[in-house]
Parts: sequence; structure tokens; C-alpha cells
Amino acid sequence: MADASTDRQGTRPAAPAPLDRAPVVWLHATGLIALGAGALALPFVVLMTGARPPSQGLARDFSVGLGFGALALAALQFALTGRLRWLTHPFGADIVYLAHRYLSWAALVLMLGHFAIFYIWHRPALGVLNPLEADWELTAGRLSLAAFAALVVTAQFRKPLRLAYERWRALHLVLAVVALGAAVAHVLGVGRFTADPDKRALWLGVTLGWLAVLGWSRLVVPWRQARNPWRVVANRDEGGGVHTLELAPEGRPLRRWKPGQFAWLSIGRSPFSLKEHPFTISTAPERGPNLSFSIKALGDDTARLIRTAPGTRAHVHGPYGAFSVDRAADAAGFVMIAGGVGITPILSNLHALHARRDPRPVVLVYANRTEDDIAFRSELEAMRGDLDLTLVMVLEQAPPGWQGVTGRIDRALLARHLPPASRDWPHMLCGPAPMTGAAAAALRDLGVPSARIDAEVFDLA
Amino acid sequence: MDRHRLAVALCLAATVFVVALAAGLALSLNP
Repeated sequence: MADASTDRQGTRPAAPAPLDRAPVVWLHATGLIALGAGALALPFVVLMTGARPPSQGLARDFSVGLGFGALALAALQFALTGRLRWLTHPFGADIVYLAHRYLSWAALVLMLGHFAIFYIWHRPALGVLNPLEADWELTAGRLSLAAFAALVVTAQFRKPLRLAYERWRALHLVLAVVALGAAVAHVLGVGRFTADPDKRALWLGVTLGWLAVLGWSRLVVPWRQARNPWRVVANRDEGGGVHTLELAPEGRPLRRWKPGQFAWLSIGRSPFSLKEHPFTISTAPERGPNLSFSIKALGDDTARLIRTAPGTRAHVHGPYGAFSVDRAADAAGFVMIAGGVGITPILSNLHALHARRDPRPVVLVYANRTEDDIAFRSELEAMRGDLDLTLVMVLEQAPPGWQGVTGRIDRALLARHLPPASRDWPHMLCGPAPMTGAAAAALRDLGVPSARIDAEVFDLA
Repeated sequence: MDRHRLAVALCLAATVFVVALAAGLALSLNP
């Protein structure tokens, strides 16, 4: 019988994480939502306690409130992106990043509202624009607004702006710290609500708390990674331009991960480098402590990554994500819909079902543009022997003699290939956003409840 | 509700909540 020490040598799989029970996940999510509401309300609680400043008129006081609210929302983003597993667990890290994007837009709109009310009704209070002549605290406010607007716009439009991922990450970090720092300087400089020394101390404490979260993700986490390196042991061509890198732990294996989850991966670089990417782990926990990441060269750093030589040192940080069959322990079967390299988290889930000899039926609809784009074809076909897997291969441009389906994933195609009994099964979608969006709409049209449709957000930035 | 729609609903709720707090602050200072 293997003892615990054999885990490190790779002779026994790392213990998989326990299944997520829905009531526990919901309770966890509710607690986090309450915590978030508390974090948003905190500045207002501080403002309203102790000595209050005199009124300056309804519109102006509302504008100040919008400013504080925008700052609270902006500060919350440090927590949402701080790689805190206990925070992302119930929602899935992909959805938390999506919320980060939406809430940042909301914070920017509130900041603009704060500025606009002053600009329209109290323009003299804004002073002059020239930073050499203006009050420094008002310049700090304008700097914060400009930095935050640049932050949101460069994140939303990174690709049209042709900003390389790595350069954008560095810019994002700098702009975020400048925007938050300038906003806090603005609040303390204006000082209308923070004249009281206790309130100033509390404000500084809150700011340092948010910066501590940033320090956690950018310093503590990489430091831990540096002490627990991984090694690339294989690089396989899977077809369709996808390469699988297999990594072996040199120290501790990844603990408590579920099929379909992803991890941040940096290869051949310091873990403090910003050149790391979120990639799905394409194998299942049951396969052992080695992790496989399947990567398609889509530009930026990925072209370099797929050429990684075995022996290269790597760093892994995870697991994250909730796109897992382990979230649906009660399901009678699964429908999985993949587009292109979106197959990777689905493959991981299939590997897990396969390793567990799970008898439940699975229908996989796997869409690609051409036959050459299909990845893991033989692996998927081989799984059909041990798993109740129906494989529906869809090509947009099929070659002569193609045995599968030709066309795009739409209502008619899904109606034809999904059994009527599958409507209440979990439907797991992963691929380019237009494809998953169209598939989700078609599924709803076919009578699949929204709660049974889960799309992994594929393109985080 | 799927996770994506939940995220949209939570973000909208958070924004409305913050605007309500700002309005509450203004109203409490201008009774």
C-alpha cells in the first residue's frame, strides 16, 4: 500500500477535491455577497460616524457620495483580482473576472457622475485645470479619473488597441495603483469628511488593506511559487495547432483541484514576471500529480509557449474555476459543447468521468472550422469505448467524404443531435463567445432551463 | 440562473446599492 510520501514521487494521484454540494456553494456565495456589500458600505459608515460636515447642498453632497461610492467599488477590484481562492470558489474565477470588468465600468460611470455634477453646478469649486496652479488635491482627483478611465478602456479594448497581453498587464497594474493612490490622496486632501484624525487613520488603514491584497497576489503568491517549482516533462502535438505541455511537480503537487479548472502558468520565467497566463488543466485529478496544459498559439506569448522544450522550469498557481462535472453530482447525464480550443476544460471533465468509470451518458458537440482544426480527435474517439459518450463533430468547412456534421451550432443542429431526455442535464459550453452565446440561446429556445446552462468565459482579457 | 446572468445581476445590484448610499448620504446631510 502506498504511503503519503509516494504522492511526491508521482506514483499515486493527488487526492481529488470533494464534490461541491449546491447548498454549501450557495451559502458561501451569500456570505461573500454580504461581505462585498459591507465593503461598499464601509466608507459611508465612516463618513456618517462622529462629527459630520455641514451641508453643501443636495447635488454637491450627492456628488461627493458618488465619489466615495466609486472609490469603494474601485478598491473592491483589488480583492476580485487578488487570486483569493475562497473568494472566487462559489462563482468561478472566470465569472469573478467578468464581474471585475462590469464593476470597473460602473465605478468609472460613478466617478464621471461625481465630476459631472461639480462641472455643471459647482464649476468654481473645481478650480483651474493647470496642475501648476490648481490645488494639488483637485489635480489628484483629475489624475485618478484619467488613470481609471485609461485602465477601463485599455482593458475593454486591449485587442483593437493592439496592446500585447504582457505589456497590457504591466500597464494595468501601474494604472490601478496610480488611480487608487491618487483617489485616496484626493479624499484626504479635500478633507471635508476626513478632518477627524480617527477618520484619516481609518481611511489610510482601509487603503493599506487593499494594497495588502495586491501585495499578496504580486509578492507572496510568486514567492511561494518560486519555492515550489514544476518541470516540463513532455510537449505533445495534439493536432489543430494545439500542444499539450505536461508538467511534473518538483515539490508539492497541486492540491484539491477539480476537472475543468484552470491555473496560472509561467514557463521559463520568474514567478514574479507578469508573463503568466491562465490555462485550463486538460487532464483530470485522477491521472496523477502531473498536470497537462493544452495551449493553442493565438498570438502574444502562446507562440513561444507551444515550443517549450522538456526540462524547462515552470510555475503554477491554482486551481481556479467552477466549470466542473463535480458541481453537478446529481446530474443524470451531461451535454458538453466545445468550440475550437474550448475543448480543453471539457476534455479534463471527460477524463475525470472516464477515470471514474462513470456510467452517465455524455453528448459532446465539438465544433471547428476545418478538419485540420480538430484537436484530441483520437483521444476523444478512444474514450467512447469506456464512456457512454456520443461524439458529434461539427465542421464549418467539411472536406469531401466527411462523416460528421457540416454547418454551425444552431437550434436545428442541437435539436437533431441532443436526446429529448437531456434537457434537464447540465449543459457545459466552452469556446469563442459568439459560439457559446448562440449555443446558449438555442438551448434556451429548446427548453433547457438557464440554470442548466454554464458557459466558461474563455477570453479573460 | 446561470453564472453569467448572476454576475450581471450582482453587478447591477452593487451599482444601485452604491448610488443609494450616495443618495442616503446627501439626504441625511440635507434633511
